Amino acid sequence: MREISYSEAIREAMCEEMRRDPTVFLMGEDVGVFGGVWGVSHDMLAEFGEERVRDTPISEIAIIGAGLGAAMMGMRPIAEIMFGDFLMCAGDQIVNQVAKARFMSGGKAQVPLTIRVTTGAPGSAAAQHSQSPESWFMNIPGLKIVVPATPADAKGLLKTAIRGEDPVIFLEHKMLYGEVGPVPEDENFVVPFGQANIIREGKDVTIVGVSIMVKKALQAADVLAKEGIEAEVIDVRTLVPLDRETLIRSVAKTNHVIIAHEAHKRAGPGAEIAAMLAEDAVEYLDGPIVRVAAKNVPLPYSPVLENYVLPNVNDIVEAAKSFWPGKA
Amino acid sequence: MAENKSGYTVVMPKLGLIMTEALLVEWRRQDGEWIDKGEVLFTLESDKSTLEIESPASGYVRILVTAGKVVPVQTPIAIIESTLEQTTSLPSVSEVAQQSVSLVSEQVAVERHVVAKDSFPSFLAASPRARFLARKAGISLIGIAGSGPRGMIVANDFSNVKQQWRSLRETESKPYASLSGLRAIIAERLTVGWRERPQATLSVELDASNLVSARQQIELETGRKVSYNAFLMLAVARTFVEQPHVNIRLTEKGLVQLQEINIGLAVDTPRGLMVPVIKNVDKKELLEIDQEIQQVARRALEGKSLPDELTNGSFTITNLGAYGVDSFAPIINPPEIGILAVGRIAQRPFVFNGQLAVRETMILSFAFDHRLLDGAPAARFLQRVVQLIERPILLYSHRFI
Repeated sequence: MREISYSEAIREAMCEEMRRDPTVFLMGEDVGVFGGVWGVSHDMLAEFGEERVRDTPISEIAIIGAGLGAAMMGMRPIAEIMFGDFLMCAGDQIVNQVAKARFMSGGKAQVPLTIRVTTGAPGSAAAQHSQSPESWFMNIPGLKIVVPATPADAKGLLKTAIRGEDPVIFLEHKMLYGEVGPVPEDENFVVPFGQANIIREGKDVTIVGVSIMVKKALQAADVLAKEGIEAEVIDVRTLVPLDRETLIRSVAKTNHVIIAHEAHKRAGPGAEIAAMLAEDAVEYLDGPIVRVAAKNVPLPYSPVLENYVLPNVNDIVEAAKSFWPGKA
Repeated sequence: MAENKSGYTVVMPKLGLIMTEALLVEWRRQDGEWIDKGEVLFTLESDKSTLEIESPASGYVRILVTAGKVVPVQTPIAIIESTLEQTTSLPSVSEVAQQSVSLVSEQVAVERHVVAKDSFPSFLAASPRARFLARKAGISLIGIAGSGPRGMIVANDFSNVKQQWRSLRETESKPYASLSGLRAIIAERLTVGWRERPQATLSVELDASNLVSARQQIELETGRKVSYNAFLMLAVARTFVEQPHVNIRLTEKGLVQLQEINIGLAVDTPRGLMVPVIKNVDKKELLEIDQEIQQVARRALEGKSLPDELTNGSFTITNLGAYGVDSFAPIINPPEIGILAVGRIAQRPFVFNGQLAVRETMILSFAFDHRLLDGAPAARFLQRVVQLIERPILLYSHRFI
């Protein structure tokens, strides 16, 4: 299969959907003339014109509010927020309007709004440009939370988001944009929400990865294999809806689970997954549920400190080995 | 259960009208282990029924009576303490037994103590998986060395121990075992019944053709196959109504005329013989009795009999016809006055209308407590039962005429 980058896969998903459906359009800061601050929407202005690739003022609340209005009037907007850290500027629109419109209109309003946003630490971007805001919104019913970890999933999940009738927060990890992998060219290739992906099978420990931590989990699994520990790596793909069944089935097999995400550990996505497993799969657990996540401090600028705070491959390896302290 | 300064006193509950004692089968918590209110604390066996008893409070369990003993009701058997510290000043079992204790469970919650980790010496650190497997296998995790994180016992540790136990059991198989549980209760009751009661047995072969026919007619009408036991129960109940002087019981305080006609049915269960009792049989219709027999028998088979369902019988019916037994001499189920043994219904040569004929016949054997009943009244009792079975229309006649 042809291989392209995560960034290209996202651009391809947007372009294909805009070609097939005239109600789909892109809006955001610098998405047009500049091609997006991460270059994701390069040359889209030339193909689709200013009506459909719209540069907006620097106001996140205006971008989301306009997106909501357009969505309720029958359009399918893709609203880009440059950094996940800035989502809070649009907090009221997202939390009180976008997420609630369907419910408070008695089901009359559809909100097919896709909010594309970058997440994660790109390296020395410091505390205001490095956060992983996934779990901030997991507590808001009405929003779907999508965390693609591979180029193919980025394309397939984004197309599902654009074609769906409900608001989606689509979190693109900055350090995955350059990641290259096989991506189907079929314009009807979609990846459904709520289906976790077992990327590597193993019998000893389940590692549930969120976004970039899936990649690190796979690297950790290679290291663990050399030590005789067979890890099963699962990419959650979507945090809301969460694929409980696949996770429980895996834990029932391995009896050990590590949840790895780049968001801060305290009340991060792993807290919800851990609680779900404690409620529904406790009899399968042969040890504690372990979370590998960023330490609970604002992300530092200093590379040394940042590396210390962020979770890495070795943290996952050590977490897995902690289940068998007797093993050397 | 009562609260005192050292916690809640758990007593052996009185669960049936005539329950006086019960076998303490098993503790679900070890001494010193924590239990939450509402979790099963122990199981008891009384009158052939096994019951799970929940803890009335949350706290550490201090066991006063070890499992495997028969304990009179109201006897304190454990204390639920809010802390582990008071272990040294515990009253002895006999001291506790002197205290008056209340049966009413009081709804006062005991606050779970917030204590530092170090002061949890007897807390068993085990993974949920290990606990689950141990519970399934019925093996305690206490004493197993943990190899998991923070020293907790994990599934693998448990499997190793299970393996060792298995090989141990194979090398040390004992030639003798003591009676336990239901078997011990049955043995005790039969011994008492046999030793204390001079019993005599009367037998008669009867023509069951009309009974077979009546059953078929009811099936044609209702589609239901009524059990012969239901007919027999109704016949015995009718006889009791007509001959109330037989419905008596000898107790320690003297002779009692029973007001209700309650008849038990012997049921063979995987755990042993059980005798669920149908109450007020004389006030019930045949189909009602049949349905009730099915219900109580099912509960008995599943070991889920209700406490009152196994007590207070006047009389027992025991039927081995299904096993092809022609007749047998039963032993009275104390404190009842008698028991009716029912053999199979089979085609046998029988004199009918002065001619030798092949008829459906059945042999009934009535064993009775000869202290309370002479031979002639006992024979009259059996004779009337036989009449009602040979002419089952009579079972209904009193309701119409």
